[in-house]
Amino acid sequence: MRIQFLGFISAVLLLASCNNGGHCYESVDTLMVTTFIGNNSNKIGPMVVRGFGRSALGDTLLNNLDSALIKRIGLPLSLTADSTGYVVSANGRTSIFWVRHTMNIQLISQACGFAPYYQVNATRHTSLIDSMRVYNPVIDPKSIETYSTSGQNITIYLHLTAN
Amino acid sequence: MDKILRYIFILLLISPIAGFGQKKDDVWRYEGPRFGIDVSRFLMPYIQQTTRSAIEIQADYPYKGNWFPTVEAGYLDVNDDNDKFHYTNKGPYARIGVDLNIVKFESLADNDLVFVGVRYGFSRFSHETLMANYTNYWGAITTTFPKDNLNAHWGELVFGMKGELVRNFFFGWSARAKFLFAMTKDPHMTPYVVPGLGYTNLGVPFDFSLTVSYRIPLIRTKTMPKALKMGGSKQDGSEKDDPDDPNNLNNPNNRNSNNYGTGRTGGNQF
Repeated sequence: MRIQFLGFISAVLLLASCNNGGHCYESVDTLMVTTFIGNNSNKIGPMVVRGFGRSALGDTLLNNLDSALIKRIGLPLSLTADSTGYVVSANGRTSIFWVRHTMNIQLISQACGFAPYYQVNATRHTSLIDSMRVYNPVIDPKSIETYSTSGQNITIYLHLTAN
Repeated sequence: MDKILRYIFILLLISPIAGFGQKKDDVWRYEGPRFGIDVSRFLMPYIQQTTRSAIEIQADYPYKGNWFPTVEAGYLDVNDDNDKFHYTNKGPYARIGVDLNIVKFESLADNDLVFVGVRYGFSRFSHETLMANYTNYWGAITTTFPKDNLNAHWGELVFGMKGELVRNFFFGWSARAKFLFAMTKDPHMTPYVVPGLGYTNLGVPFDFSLTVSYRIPLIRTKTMPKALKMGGSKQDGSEKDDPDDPNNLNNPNNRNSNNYGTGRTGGNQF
């Protein structure tokens, strides 16, 4: 009985010692998963995306030189403003788009801390962009995992000319 | 590895205590209320990386030998201050329930238990986020969430053991699965821990306790609790001839006393 007793205690203590040690295994990067698609099946050539008003070295969010029909990127949203703008340069032309949103900070877990959750309310864009479509207005830390291979929060249709 | 070494150290501390057994010549059976403290709450900071401090006391009382109505009460204080956030959560909690011993007592002096039990738990606590940081491409934000008072209700399934290491002193452990029934909602944030329940991000929080307890031997008896009959035991009379049954007059272990009834003392035997 006593051997069993100690055996069980050993097992319980051993299990207790095997905790995650406070490591964060969840995503805390809240990114708006965005796909860029060229109109009329035109391929998107070299493309650069950066934040509106951010032109310093290192402010580039995407610098993709490949040609592709679809390009995907996770875009961070502003933490303090109620809208976030991005500058897109593709196939030699530049355009700007804005996303209007609300945000609240929520706890992810003890190990991971807090992260912002967004709700997209409206979009606006300039001429290179043909149109924008919001597929899922809710943007949270899981969005980047949810749409890691397919799907997106928003799609941006670029007005491209054939090369 | 460091945690494993701590665990081994704790086990080494515990093992010699387990060497103390009951005296073989004691043929009385003692019963009474048992009061204990959960020492795992003190060991936890050394076993796990945690920012919690807690105390928990427990009490139970035998009913018809194998049933142990139980009350547990405690207080949890979380002060989680790191570079990401500073969060506090504190409050009392209580549980009531019952344990059922599922093994047969081997002798009058045998008080070791293997038990299953249920609990209903309740906590009234407050939590507050004094600082929450987040940084991304656009900069950083620091925010706070005000103090809020919350209630939580939950149920528990318990399995454990208690052994009488020295007369009237028990050492035991229990493992628990917990099921949150209801919790008041905070519009700002869900608490990640609830006093007495544990972490809320786990679907079914598991917990364990290590209890050191003392039984006040109010009752002295020669009567063994009846073993539980699980799943329709045979009633063919063979039990009457069981030489290991302490209630059996043919059991030689029970012949050294002329008192086979229930006796109560005023405590002068202790």
